[in-house]
Amino acid sequence: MSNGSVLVVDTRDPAYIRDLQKTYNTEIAESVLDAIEKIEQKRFDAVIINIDLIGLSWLPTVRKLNPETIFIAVSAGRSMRTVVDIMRMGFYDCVFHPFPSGYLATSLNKGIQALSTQRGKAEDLAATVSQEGSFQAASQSMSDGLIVTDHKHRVVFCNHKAAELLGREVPTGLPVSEITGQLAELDAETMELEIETPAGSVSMRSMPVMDCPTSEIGWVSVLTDVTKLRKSGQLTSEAALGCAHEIEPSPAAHERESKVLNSEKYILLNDLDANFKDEISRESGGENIMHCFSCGTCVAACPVRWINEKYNPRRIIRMALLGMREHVLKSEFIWLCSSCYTCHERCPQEVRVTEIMNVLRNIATREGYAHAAYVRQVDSIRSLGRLYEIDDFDNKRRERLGLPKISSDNSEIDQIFEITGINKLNRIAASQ
Amino acid sequence: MKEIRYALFIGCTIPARARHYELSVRRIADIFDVELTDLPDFSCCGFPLGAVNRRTSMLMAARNLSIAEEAGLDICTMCSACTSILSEVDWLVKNDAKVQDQIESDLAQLGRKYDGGVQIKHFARVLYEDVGVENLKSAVSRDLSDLEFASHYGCHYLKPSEVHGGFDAPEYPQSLDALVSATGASPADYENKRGCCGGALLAIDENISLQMSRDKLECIKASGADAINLICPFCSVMYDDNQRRIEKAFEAEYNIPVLYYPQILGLAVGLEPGELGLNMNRVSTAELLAKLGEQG
Repeated sequence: MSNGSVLVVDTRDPAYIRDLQKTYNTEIAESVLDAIEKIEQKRFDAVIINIDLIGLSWLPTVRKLNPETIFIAVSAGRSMRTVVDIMRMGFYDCVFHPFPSGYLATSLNKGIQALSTQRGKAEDLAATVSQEGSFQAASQSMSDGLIVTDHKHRVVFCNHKAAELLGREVPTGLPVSEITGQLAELDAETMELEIETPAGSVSMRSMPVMDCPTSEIGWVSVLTDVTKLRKSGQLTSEAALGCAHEIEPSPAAHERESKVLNSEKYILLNDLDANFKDEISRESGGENIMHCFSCGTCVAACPVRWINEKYNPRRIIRMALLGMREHVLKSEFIWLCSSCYTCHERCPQEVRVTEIMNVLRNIATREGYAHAAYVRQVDSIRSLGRLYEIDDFDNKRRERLGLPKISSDNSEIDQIFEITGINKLNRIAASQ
Repeated sequence: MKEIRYALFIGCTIPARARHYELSVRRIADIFDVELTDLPDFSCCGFPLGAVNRRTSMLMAARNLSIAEEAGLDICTMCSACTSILSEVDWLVKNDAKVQDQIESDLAQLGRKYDGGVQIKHFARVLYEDVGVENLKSAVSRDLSDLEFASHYGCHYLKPSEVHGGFDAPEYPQSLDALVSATGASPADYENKRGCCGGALLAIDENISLQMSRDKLECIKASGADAINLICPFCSVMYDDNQRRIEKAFEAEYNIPVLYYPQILGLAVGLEPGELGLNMNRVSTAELLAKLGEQG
């Protein structure tokens, strides 16, 4: 009795073949060429490949020609490529030697079962779209074109708008390649296409219908007229393919957006400044910010963080790397580093976290966000040359204790403040 | 001329809030033949400006270094933050060409230059390395063996480690404990020994700052030490000047005297409490001195 047809591609004569022959109509290919010839002549339910001995570069092409065949890899394991790589190539399963008798058969049965499910579901999809009255009615009233294809990339449905946009008849059963022009089928690389039509340009965006363990059971494609955008020169590839409709945000959407902005739970990509990390790394002390791999050693070491979670150096660095410039510079937390350098000593990447906090504060000061406490300190140092005034009274007390008099001459300090421009910065900060 | 010579870098906080510290440093320097010269042109070290403008901070530090270099003297500091920024700028001048160019051209506008010829040492390090623990021991004349001191190393005395020449390990520091042992007193071990005092945040977020100090006072109290030994005026502001405030804010009682190391050493070599300014420490040292049979 035969439960299906199997092709084994192996250069040796493996023992498990005899087991397979009892249950399946089994053939053997001893080379890649042999395998391709056999697959071209006949549709197999399953192809089993010894991936340790057979090259795999031919596989994607053959697989595309046989969407209703499952591929199973057999390997001795250990030195071979990872299971993930194998699965990515579209194998249904990977079986490692030595496998118990019956294991391969179980895998095969499951795979073949899944195949028949796929076939069934694909037929269901085709039946649904061609017979379901409400689907037809809805799709005919769409302002976009809609095309549904099955797992063999043949059209099972096309609405009036799609035919109008393409300027041609699109009968059921038409291979999708006749619409797209050059490609035999839809896949991850052709999910977004622009098609030239007699009337202009149409963007075609396709999504797979996944309702089956082996692969997609069909595709849904939406067609949009982009002729006008193309003519007016506004068309970038994203505009054509991703956002062909210009949408004015409603007041409600605006409100939602500002809620999102203020919630801190979300990051709006439009508000990010991708150059922020470069701006930081150009400053003395900020050079290593991009070395951070977010291990959290700084957080674990931080004595401020023990007391208050508002301050989280890893989070601040991550925000800076993401480009949350405005958010970081305006924040209170960049001023909460106590400059204890514990993180500096323990960071495995030599990120120099303490210096980065200073760089962020330096940039914040230039933008007018200096903390008031520092504005006062800058003023004292400029006018006194030191943080605290030592007046005559203090000097008399010093004299009584036998300590030398302290003079306050700040002329050179004034000059320093002029050279570096900190005077101006402080005036800006003080006025905020 | 004495063998050990330094320019004394006095900084901002010490003349304003820690005259007792300065007094004890100068007395100890005399006793151990360390010549400390005052250079009146020294200003603020530059450390407080690092947060708002690194270039100004570095230029202030470089200017101070250039003054010492002109006088042909190394620098002895008393404050850990001064130690840190002066050492860092000296290190950057030697290790970061970009910073060195900037500092060179900025200093030139002041008619100054700095060639990297000044070594910066905290006074505690001068005692530890130049005078030496053995010499300190042999000068001891008063018995402190009943006293136990919890040393607070603070942050900038040893960190960032690359700029301090690795003279003590920031993760497992022992120089201050060795200095305590040299006086005959016992060094105390306690949890959170490397912790930060929180002083840098006092003006930014008082609550966090005082909690950081509170956490350490708790650990030190639990260790049973008689007093704190420290070497930085700002750490002292937190533990000594603010101890009453912390007690009030957190409804606790510590009553732990806070001494600068030169005060402890001064007691050990037989100086009178008044000569060391022990009457100026905020938390009373009377009980501590009574243990030594002295009047506070």
